[in-house]
Amino acid sequence: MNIAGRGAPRTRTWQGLVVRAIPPSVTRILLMVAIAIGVAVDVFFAVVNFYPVAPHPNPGPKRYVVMQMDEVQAAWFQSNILDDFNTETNSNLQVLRVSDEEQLQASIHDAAAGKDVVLVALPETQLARAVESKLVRPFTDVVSSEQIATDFADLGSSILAPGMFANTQYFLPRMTVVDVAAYRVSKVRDAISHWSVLRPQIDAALAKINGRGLPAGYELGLTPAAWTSYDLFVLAYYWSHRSYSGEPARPRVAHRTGDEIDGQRDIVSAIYRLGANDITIANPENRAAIDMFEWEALYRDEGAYPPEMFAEDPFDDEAVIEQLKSGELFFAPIDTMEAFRLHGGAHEAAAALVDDPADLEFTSMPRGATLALDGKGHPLRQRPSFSFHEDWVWALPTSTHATTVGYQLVKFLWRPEIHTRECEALGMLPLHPKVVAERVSRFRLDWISHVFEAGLEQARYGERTPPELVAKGVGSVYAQLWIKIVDGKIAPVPETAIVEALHAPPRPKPLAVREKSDVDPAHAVDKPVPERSVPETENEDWETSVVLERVTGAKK
Amino acid sequence: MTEHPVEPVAVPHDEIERSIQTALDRLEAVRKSEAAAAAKAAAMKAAIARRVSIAALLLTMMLSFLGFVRSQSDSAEAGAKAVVQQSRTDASTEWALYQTKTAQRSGFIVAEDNLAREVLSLTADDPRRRLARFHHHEYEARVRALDEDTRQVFHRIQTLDARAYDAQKMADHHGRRTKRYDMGIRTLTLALVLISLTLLVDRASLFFFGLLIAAIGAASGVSGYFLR
Repeated sequence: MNIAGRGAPRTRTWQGLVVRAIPPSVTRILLMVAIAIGVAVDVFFAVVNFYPVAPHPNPGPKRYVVMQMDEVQAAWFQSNILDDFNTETNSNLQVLRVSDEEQLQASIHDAAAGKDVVLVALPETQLARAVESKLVRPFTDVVSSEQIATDFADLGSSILAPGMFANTQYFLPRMTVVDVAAYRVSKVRDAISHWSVLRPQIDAALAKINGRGLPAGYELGLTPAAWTSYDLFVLAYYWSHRSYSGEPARPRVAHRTGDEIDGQRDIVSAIYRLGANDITIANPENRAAIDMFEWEALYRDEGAYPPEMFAEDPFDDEAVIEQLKSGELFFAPIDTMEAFRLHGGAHEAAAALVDDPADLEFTSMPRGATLALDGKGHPLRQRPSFSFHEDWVWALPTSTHATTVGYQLVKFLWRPEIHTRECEALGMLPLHPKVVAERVSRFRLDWISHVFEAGLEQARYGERTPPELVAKGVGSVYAQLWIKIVDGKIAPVPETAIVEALHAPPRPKPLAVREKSDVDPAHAVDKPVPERSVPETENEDWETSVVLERVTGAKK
Repeated sequence: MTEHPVEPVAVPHDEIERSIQTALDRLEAVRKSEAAAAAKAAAMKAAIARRVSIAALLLTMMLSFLGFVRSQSDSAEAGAKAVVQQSRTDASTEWALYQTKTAQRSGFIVAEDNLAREVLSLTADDPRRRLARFHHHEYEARVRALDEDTRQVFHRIQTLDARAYDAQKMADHHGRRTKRYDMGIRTLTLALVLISLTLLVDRASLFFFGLLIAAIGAASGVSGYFLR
């Protein structure tokens, strides 16, 4: 072959075919081009020596991830999660936070007008509505089911299950929220030391209902994880009569109330804790509901619940946090993320909301026990600690222009290191099987492991929030019944009054969706509590006598 | 065998001369043709040598620069790994400090518990009660100071953990780039060998095949730079 490229192109044959050689002029041009490219590549590598990091292309317009968070959490999520993701994938994702979960879908609506929302975290109670209103679309629209199964194979089917809708992976898992009990250690210690002073009064209060009082051989449990309904009542009764730091004695135990999702979930889970299930809950006259309302009416009669629980405004998550924060409440159910907010210190910007975080502890909710006792003086019905799981999922808004970024972010969030980081800073219950298995070495702080152990223990006995809670208005019915019976001062005995009230349940109301303007601005940002000065008074609770109020002859 | 006498043939002189001339011309043509072929072959060899030289020069430069870039990437990877290691070591040290402070705190809590028990048995005007109060304040202040210390230590550990994670990611990134550069270097070296062989075997196809391999090597090296 003529490499010199002179003269006319020659032909040669190959297996009978006539192969025409490349014309020399073309060869010459090709060689010139090759030399030019070679020189360009040489220059490129020479220049790269001085600029070893490749320049980033423009990450494009801002896109948004809608989540329910407070300002501190949102700032942390942006700087520790999204910024890392943006750097890694050359994206430009920002957090768009809302204070209340009821605002999430409204935010997609608002955002659709001017902002590209690529992901939104929704609670399972809102999924049906979001799908019906076509606000979201399935992830299987943008990624094949097989790909999703491969990418999330580490999580296992139980974690992916909340994202299944209409037999497709419509959503992807975000987190599971469970309630744990938050309590003040010093106040529990005080109650354990002195509650027996009030034993006759407690017996008398209980005897009005069950004819006997405390169960046979009862002693206040020394292990919070093993507390029962009776232990909680004893604590509530004692604290509501105990004066601290010279202030009047007042109720110190509460749960969430009102016809909103928080109150509905607390009230219905209390019924489940006394033995209800997904079938019996549909009938308001079920035995567990009667048992639960007897307890609630008793608490009300004994002044063991704060008046805020009966106010017109729902006594929701934020109200409970406020009361725990101010030291008004000594025991209340809160979820693990709220526990982290309250305690503070999970990351540098997370200030403690309580004056003494070391005095705050967490355990699983008390076990259910009926007021009614059997012949031997033991509770007639008992059940292990119970709490609903509230599963949150990632949803893909229909309006988004960038469908794959959201999917990439979800994959990023489920990396064990990133999941651990989120759990440790925000208080999300660890779900990734690897993180759960390694939780002892991954979460080394005592209080963090206490919250997670309580949450995981609670999750073990809990159940997913039944869809009927919202879809069929079961939660609304019981929340309204609570107001009717407890706020309406229906006596716990005879139980026929309660049964009568349950016999005529109110009609369920649709789940309230508050507009942004309805949110109490006082709740929008948590103000850290100023550091407590060491009290200088002569008489402090730790060394003074117990002062009890509204109890004749009980002063010690 | 008998010899027959050869009859002399009368050939004209002109014809003889023409024949000789023709033969000479043929010889000359053959000689010229051979000379032309030799010249052509020499020219071809020279052209091959020139192109091989240019290609070798470009590829050698490419290999050198790519070697420097690879070396930088390798150093960056080693640096990032050193940061990972240092951060982990620092975090372990901080954990040890955290545990020490936690143990100190436990000591004060136990002392406070003892005080609380002792005070229960003392009368209000007992001087030991005042002493207990003094100690109670002292212990409480120490516990609070230790809580603040452990909080700071924990946040430092979080920072170190995050730094280790980021550095590990950086090290992985540089590792991937180094591998790509390595692939480029190996491919370019192979191309250089193939092109050099062209001089020995005198096969133009080998030269072009070498160029193709060189293009793949260069592309591999360039892609390493833009790797994410």
